[in-house]
Amino acid sequence: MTRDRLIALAPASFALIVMLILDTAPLNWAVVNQESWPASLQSLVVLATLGGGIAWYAIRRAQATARELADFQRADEERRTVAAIGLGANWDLDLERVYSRVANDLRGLVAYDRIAITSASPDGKMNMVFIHGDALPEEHNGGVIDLSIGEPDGLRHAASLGFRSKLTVPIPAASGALTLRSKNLNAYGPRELDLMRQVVAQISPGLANARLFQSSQRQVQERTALAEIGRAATGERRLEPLFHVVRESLSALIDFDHMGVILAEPMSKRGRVAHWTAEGLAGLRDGDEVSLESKVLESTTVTTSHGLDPLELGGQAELDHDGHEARSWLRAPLIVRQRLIGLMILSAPVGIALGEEECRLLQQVSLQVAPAIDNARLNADLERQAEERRAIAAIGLAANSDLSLENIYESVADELASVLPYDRFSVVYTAPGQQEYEIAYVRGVEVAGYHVGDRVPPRQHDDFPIIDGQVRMLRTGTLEDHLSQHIHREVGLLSWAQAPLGAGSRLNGFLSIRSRQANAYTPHDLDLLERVANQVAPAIQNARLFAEERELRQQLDQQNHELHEANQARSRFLSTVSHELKTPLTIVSGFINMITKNPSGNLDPEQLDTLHIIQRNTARLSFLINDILDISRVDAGTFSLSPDDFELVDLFTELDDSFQAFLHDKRQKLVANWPAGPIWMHADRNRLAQLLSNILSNASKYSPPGSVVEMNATVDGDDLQIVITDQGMGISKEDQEKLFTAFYRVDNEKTREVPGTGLGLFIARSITEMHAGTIHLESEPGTGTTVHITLPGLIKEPVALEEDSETHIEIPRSRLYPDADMDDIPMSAD
Amino acid sequence: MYKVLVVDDSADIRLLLGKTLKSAGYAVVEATDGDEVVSAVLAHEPDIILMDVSMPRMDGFRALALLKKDARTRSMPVLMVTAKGHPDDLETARSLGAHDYINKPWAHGEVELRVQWAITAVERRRQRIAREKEEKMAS
Repeated sequence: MTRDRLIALAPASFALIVMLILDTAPLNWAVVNQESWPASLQSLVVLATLGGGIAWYAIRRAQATARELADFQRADEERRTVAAIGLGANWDLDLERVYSRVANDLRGLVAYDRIAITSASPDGKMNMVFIHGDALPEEHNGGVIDLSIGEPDGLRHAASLGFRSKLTVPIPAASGALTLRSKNLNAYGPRELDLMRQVVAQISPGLANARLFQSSQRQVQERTALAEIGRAATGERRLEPLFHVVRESLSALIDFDHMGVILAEPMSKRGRVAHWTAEGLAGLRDGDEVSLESKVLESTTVTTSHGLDPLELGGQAELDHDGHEARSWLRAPLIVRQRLIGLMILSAPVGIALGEEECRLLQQVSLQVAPAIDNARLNADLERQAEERRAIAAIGLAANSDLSLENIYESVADELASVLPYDRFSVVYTAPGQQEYEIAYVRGVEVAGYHVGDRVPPRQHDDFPIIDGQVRMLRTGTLEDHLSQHIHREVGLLSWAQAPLGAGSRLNGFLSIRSRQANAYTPHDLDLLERVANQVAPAIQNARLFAEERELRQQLDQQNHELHEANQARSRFLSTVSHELKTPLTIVSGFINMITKNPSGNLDPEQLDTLHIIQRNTARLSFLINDILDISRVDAGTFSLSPDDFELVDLFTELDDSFQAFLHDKRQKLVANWPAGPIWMHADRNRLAQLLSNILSNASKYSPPGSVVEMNATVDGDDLQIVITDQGMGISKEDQEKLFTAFYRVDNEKTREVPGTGLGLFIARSITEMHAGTIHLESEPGTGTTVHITLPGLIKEPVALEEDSETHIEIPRSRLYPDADMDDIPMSAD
Repeated sequence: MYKVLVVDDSADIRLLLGKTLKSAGYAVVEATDGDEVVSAVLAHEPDIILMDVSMPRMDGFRALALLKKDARTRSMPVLMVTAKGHPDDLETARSLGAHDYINKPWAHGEVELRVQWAITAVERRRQRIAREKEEKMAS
């Protein structure tokens, strides 16, 4: 304005100078004296010049006024926009929306290609809270920015991205800054700076409110999450659901994509992965065993790290072999009663840093869940122990209630699977004296050369060497140097545990389990396997003994069968021979009987005596053959009776008659007494006659000439008792016991003179026993012998006597129809 | 004179039985095996048969069964003469329709006696049948 006025005054000043040159007091003259031409001209020029100057000034002035008006109007507009931004920011409590609105509204005020708003978190780190426009791929809301490069928005290589101008305004309310970048040169001047300051001033109260609101909201969220975790921690007794709740609740507070829990094994420097969300991350999986000797574990508070080695056991790779990139980790020690029970681990996606805020949160959570995890683990241990006890009891029960080896192995394999998961289970055995193992049972993965029935020679450094034909147990464990390991590794079986099957002090084999998982078995598992082996070993031993015994029994049965066959063959032989002997004997005796009758009357007495001797011996031969036949029948079990009703008196009369004649040769006498008849019996008459004949002929044979043989028969109720006494040589005690066995004869000088086969008493006993009777003898050497025969229950009610009973023996009777008259015998089969 | 058919594979037994029976007043005809029995009966028309059991071509039990199946020979009394004396053998003989059973070696005089009994029975039967016929005719 001053300059314009000066420029406007310049023509007037020039006119005054010209007047001073033309007239010292032209102005004064021109005004006072108007008649002078030259003076008038002079005055005219002066006036014209003055007028022009004034006019020019007036125009310039009007122009300036119009410009000032436009400026005023723009400033007013800007003020209005700024006020609108401020208004928008002040009624919204959502920071994200506020930033977004500001970025949008700014477009009408200050041109930019990129806007970035940063804000410091309580831990002092500067975070990107809003970014719009040309952003780099790795830039995102919440990311920590690096201020050390000297850029307020952490943007490296801005020039190479095409940005040529930058404007940064601090936002005290957010402890951050707003940075605009433009691709135009000198895009930002004092006006823009002024405007941006105004904008920041406008939105600051709103931001402060929104931040306050957000932080209080977050506190509520935090408290809710912690309460949720706390509730789950006290209520949940199982590990897996507990981990689930912790993970879900934490995910509302911390931006993480992986959670892990490693639990320390009691009394050891090792831990086991109990939970691992991202399988394979950092090379770990559920169930893996890890070393807990890391320095990390000495801290009692949550620590952070970056990389791929959360336990910091060594190895700083930026990329693991599964392609995972280095990332941010949080580790919270789980401490119960000053004892480290494990470690809780969180990891954020690549690019997100986990900071002090997350540490603080996790610290609280870990304090809250540590006792719960400890309890849940104790509970799990108890459950596992209960399950183990149940499995061992079940194995014991199944094994001891079965004598089939296969069934025992099956039940062990079944039960073991529930407490000791395996991919292959095998039973290896060796018999005493055997120099090889035998694979007795396999379930699961097959391994070449280790199938059921395969024999495996023990190796030099084997854990179960066979020494002196017995397997000796050296040690048990998950051994790396086991020589058969490589064979199993080839089929993917990485872990291995075995326990001896020692029945008593003698080791007979071992149980072996293998797993595809590395380090699958703990010392506790080995204990368990050993307990199972101890439980099942006696049963296996028993079953093996039983199998051996069964085999033995089968052999015995076979031998028995063969013996029986041999006996049958002997009986058949005896029977056949006897039959074959009978036909020639029939011919001999038949013709001798014919000749002895001396039908032509031309034989002298000496010849007839000789013929009688032949006749007598033929008869004896006939008896012998019948005895042998009877023996063969008793042996073959075909000795049977043909019982019949008959009159007892007849039998005794018949015997008396025939034996009086028989004894006559030795001048012996038979004194026979029997009850007065009629007494009816139901028995095999011929066999009873044979029984008594055998006893009577023995009595005669072993008694001296001229002695008396007594036979007394009495009936007592249904029982018939017969006592036969002789005055013979007698029998010693030891011989008495054996006399009733086949082919036994008392061997002394006297008996050798008496011919005999040793069959008579055996047959007598057989007949007695077939009639359910008893026979025994009383004797002293030199004082004779008494034989007692008792035949129970054979006496019948008397049958009505037939008319011709006295001539009973004379009545023609067929051998096939003993009860029928000849006339009644059917002549044909029908 | 009653006629007896002796069936036995042993010539000596046939001779012995032949002599024994002839001396007791019977006519004797012979057959040497079971398969000849039916034709011998038809050829000689004996009154009674004595038959061995163990014979090489056809045993006595099978021959007996054949006789009993044939209407022409059914009523012929058959006495089995055998070394087999087991109760089972007796039962077999009985079920097949044998009349009597003589065990080898037989007692002195047993053969004559049993043959006589059988002949008596046959004779009585014939008489009864004749009487019944007469009675029938008369009525």
